[in-house]
Amino acid sequence: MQSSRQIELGLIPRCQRGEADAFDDLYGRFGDAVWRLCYRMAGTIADAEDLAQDVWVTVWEQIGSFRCEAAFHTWLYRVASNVCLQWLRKRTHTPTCSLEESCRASSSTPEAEVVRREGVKRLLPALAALPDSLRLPLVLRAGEGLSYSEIAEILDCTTAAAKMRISRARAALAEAMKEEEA
Amino acid sequence: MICDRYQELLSADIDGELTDSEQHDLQSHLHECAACRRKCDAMREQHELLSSSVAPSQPTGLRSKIKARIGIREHNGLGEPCFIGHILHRSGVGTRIAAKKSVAGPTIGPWGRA
Repeated sequence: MQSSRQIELGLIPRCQRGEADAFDDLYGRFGDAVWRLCYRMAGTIADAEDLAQDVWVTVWEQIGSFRCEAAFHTWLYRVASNVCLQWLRKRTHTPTCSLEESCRASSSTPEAEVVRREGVKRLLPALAALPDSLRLPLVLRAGEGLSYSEIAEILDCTTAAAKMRISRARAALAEAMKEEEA
Repeated sequence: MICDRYQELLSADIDGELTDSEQHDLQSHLHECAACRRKCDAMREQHELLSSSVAPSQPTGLRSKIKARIGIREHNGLGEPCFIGHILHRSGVGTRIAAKKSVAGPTIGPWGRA
C-alpha cells in the first residue's frame, strides 16, 4: 500500500502539469486542513470562504515552486499562513467570531458539554482578539497539531521563536479569558 | 518575577516539548508555587478547549468556486471534461455567463500552458 508521502510525490508533479483530477485529489487530501486554518484565522464562515479561495488560487499558482524533498503539508501550511496574514492585514472590519458555528465539540455527558460550550464561548472571542502573529502559531499548534519545528518552518523562524510566540499567545489568551469571566 | 521564566516551560510542557532537565526544573517549581499550578491548570483547560473544538464543515460549493476561479474544467456527467460554460448552457442557467465563459478559450494550467 502506498504511503501518504508516495501518494503526494505522485500527485504533486501532476498538479504542476495542471491536471484537474490531480487538483481534485489534492483538495480532497488537504481541503479540510486549509479550511480549518482559514476559519480559525478569519473567525466567520463567510470570511473563511473568501480566504480559503484565495489560499487555493495561490497554491495552484505557486505549486510549481514546490520541491518534492520537503513535506508537502509544511509547504501548503506556509502558503496558507502567508495568504491568511496578508488577507488579515487588508481586512477593514473588526475581527469577529461566530460562536454558534464553533460550539460543536463532542463531550461525554450533557453536563460536560454545557461546561465545554461555556468555555468555548469565552475562548473564541479572546482568540479572535489576539494579534495575528500570535494567533497563527497557536492555531497551528493547538488546532492543527503541528510540532514546534514544523511551525518554525512554516513561519520561517527558529524553533525557539515559534515556542515563544505560542507561549505568549497562551498567556494573552488566559489573561483575556480571565477578564471575560470577571 | 521569577515565575515569568516558567511561562514558556508551562506552555512547552502542554505540547510535550520539554527536555528531561526542563521537565524536572518545572516540576520542582510547580511543587512550590501555587500560582504557577493554577496557571498550568488554566493553560491546560484552554488547550483542551482549543484542540478539541470542531470547526464547522466547509460550505457546500466551496470546492467548485475554487475550481472556477482557477479555471479548472468540470466534467459533464458523462466523464468528459468540458468548460464550465457548457454545463451552465445545457442546464439553461445563466446563458450570458455561459456564452462569456465558453469563449474564454482552453483552460490554462498554472504555467501558462493549455
